[in-house]
Amino acid sequence: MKRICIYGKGGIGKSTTVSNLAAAMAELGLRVAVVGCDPKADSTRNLTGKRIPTVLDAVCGRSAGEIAFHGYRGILCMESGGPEPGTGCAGRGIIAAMQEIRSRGLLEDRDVVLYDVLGDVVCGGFSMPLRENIADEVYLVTTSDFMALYAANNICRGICKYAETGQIRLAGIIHNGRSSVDNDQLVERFALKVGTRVVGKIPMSPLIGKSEMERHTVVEQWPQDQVSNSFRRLAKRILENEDRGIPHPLSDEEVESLCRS
Amino acid sequence: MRTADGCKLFGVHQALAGIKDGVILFHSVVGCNFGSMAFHLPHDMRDIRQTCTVISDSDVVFSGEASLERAIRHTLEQFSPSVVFVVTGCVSEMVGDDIRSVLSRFPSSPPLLYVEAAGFRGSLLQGYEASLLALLPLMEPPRKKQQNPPRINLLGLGSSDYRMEEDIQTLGALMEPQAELGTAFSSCTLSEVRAAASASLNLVVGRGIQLAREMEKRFGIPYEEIDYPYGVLGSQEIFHLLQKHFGISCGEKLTLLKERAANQAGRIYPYLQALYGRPAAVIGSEARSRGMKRFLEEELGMVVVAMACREKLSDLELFYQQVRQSETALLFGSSFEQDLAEELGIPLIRCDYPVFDQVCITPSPYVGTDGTAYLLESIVNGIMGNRGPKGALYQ
Repeated sequence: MKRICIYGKGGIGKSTTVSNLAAAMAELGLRVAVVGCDPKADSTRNLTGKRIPTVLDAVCGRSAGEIAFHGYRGILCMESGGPEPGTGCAGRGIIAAMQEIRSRGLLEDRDVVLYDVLGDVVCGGFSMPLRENIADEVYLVTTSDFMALYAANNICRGICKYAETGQIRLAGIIHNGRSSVDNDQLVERFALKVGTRVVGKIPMSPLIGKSEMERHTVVEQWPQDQVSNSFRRLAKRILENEDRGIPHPLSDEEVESLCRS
Repeated sequence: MRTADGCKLFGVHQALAGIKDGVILFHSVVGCNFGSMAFHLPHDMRDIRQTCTVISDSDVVFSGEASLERAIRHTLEQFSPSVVFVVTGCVSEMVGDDIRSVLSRFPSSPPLLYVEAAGFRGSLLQGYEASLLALLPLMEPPRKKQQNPPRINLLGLGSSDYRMEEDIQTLGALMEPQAELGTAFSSCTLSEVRAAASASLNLVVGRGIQLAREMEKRFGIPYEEIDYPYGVLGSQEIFHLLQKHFGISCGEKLTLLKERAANQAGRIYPYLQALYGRPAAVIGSEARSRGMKRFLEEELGMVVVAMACREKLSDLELFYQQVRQSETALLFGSSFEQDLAEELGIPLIRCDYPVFDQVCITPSPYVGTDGTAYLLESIVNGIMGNRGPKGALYQ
C-alpha cells in the first residue's frame, strides 16, 4: 500500500490535486482512498459529488455513524471534519479522526491512500499524518510564489522532526502552475536545495474550476483535455517514484534570497 | 523534580470556594473538580458548592462553549447562587473557548465571574491573587468613609486552609470591641465582598496584595502585610497595627493575653523546656512559614534549621534534602510532608495547605491565646506520640 500525504500552503490546490490524482489512479484499476484532514471537509466533494458526513460527526453522534463513502470509480472517501471556524481545536479533531479511522480498519484493503492535509503543519494535530505510522511519503504542492515556497519549506521542517524517529519521508514537489508569473526554475531550485525534486507540474486551466463547480474532477469531466493528462502523468510518476528522503529545510533568509534571485 | 507550589486552579479554588453563597463552575476536565474537592472535603463535607462541565473530546474539537452554557444553566437552577465563578482550566484555555461571549448570554444577576486558571499559566499564588482581584468589580464604593469601630478586612486566607474558620473567628474576637472584623477573604458571603470597600484597613496575610493595592488606589483603604499571626507575637502585631492606624490601645488586652497564655503553657512547663534548642523544619506558604518560624524561635526557643516558602521553592526535593541533612526533630508542613516525617521518624505538625489526612471539628484555632495553647498541644502531643529516637521528649 502506498500511503501519501499531500501538504502545502492554504488555497494552493491540494484538494484539487488530491482528488484528480485519486481519479487518475482509480482509472488505472487501483483501489484508492482519500482522507480529507481539513475541518472544511471539502477534499472529497469532487469525487462524491456532495459533502459527506465527517468522521468527527460520527464520533460525536451527529451523524448515522458511517464514515466511509464510495465516490468516482469506487474511491473510498473520508473527511475528518472539525469545528466551526474560530472555535474548538481542529488539530485535536484530526488526531481523534485519524484514531477512529485506524480503529475501524477501513483503509486496509486499499492500494493507495491519499491524505489531504490542511495548510501548514501548524500544531501537533496537523502533523498527525506524519507520525504514528499513518503515512510514508509526503508531496508538497506549491506555486512559484514566495509565500507558497515559504510554507513548503516550513512543512519540510515538520517532516524533518518526525523523519528522525519515524518512517515519514519527503518524496517530491508538485508544481501547481497557476501563479500569475510562473517560474519553473525557481521551484526546481527550491526542490534541489531542500534535497528533493519536482515530480510534475499541473498547468493552469479554466477547466479545473469549471469541473469543480459541477462537483467533479477535471479528470472525470474533461477526460481528453491536456490538463487531465497531466494529472494522469503525475499519478503514474508518483506511483513509480521510489525517491524518498529527509529534507534539508532552508533558513527563512535562504528562502527569501532564493526567491529574490 | 517535585513541585512545591500547587496549580493555579487550586489557588483560584482557595480564593473563591470560601464565598459561601457562591458556586464555582470549573470549565475543565473532571480531575480539576475532584482534585480541588478532595482538599476541601476534610474541612466541611456538607459544603460542596462546586461543579464542572467535564470537558470531553468533542468539547475540545468542536469547542466547549455549548457545554459551558448548558452547565451554567444547570448551576443556576440547582444551586440558586448569589454568584457563579466560571473557572477555566488548561484544556479550555488551550482550545480558546470564548468564555466572555458565553457569559454575555446570561442576565447580569446573579453575577457570573470569569477567572482564568490554566495551570500552565501560573502558580497557586497567582491563581489566588487573580481571583481576589476578580472580585474587585463586585465591591461597592462606601457611602460613609469613617467606620466606628473601624472595620478590618483579612486577605490571604484560603477556603481549605487548616483550622481557617476557627482562626478567623479568633482574630475577629481579638480585635473586638475596639475594632471589628470586616470581610475575611476567603470565608465570607457575596454581600460581605460587596461591603469590603467600606473597611478602614486591609490586613494582608501573605497573599492578596494585588487586591489590597487596588483597594488602596480605588477606595483609599490602607493595607498592612503581616505573617500568619501565630503565638503571642502574632496577636501583638495585630494590636500594634490597631494602635498605628486607629490609635487604639490594646496594652491591657495584651497583658491579659500573655497572662492567659503563660498560665495555660505553665501546666506543661517541663515539656516546653525540653523544646528549647530543639531543631525544627518548616515548610509552608510564605506567610505561614515565617509566622511559624517566629513563633517557634522567639516564643519557644526552638531552632528552625530548615525553612522553605512554597512560592519560592523550585523543587520540593531541595527542601527535603536540607531536612534530611539536618538534625530536624520536628517537621511543620502540610499532609504532603507525612512521607518525609515517616522516613525520618519524626512528628509532623500539620499547619499548611493542604491538610487532608486530619479533620478539625472542634473550635480549636491556631492563633490567639487559645490557638497558641492548641498549637502547643499539637506540638507536645506530636512529640510524645512519636516513637522515633529523634521525636522523643526524654533523651
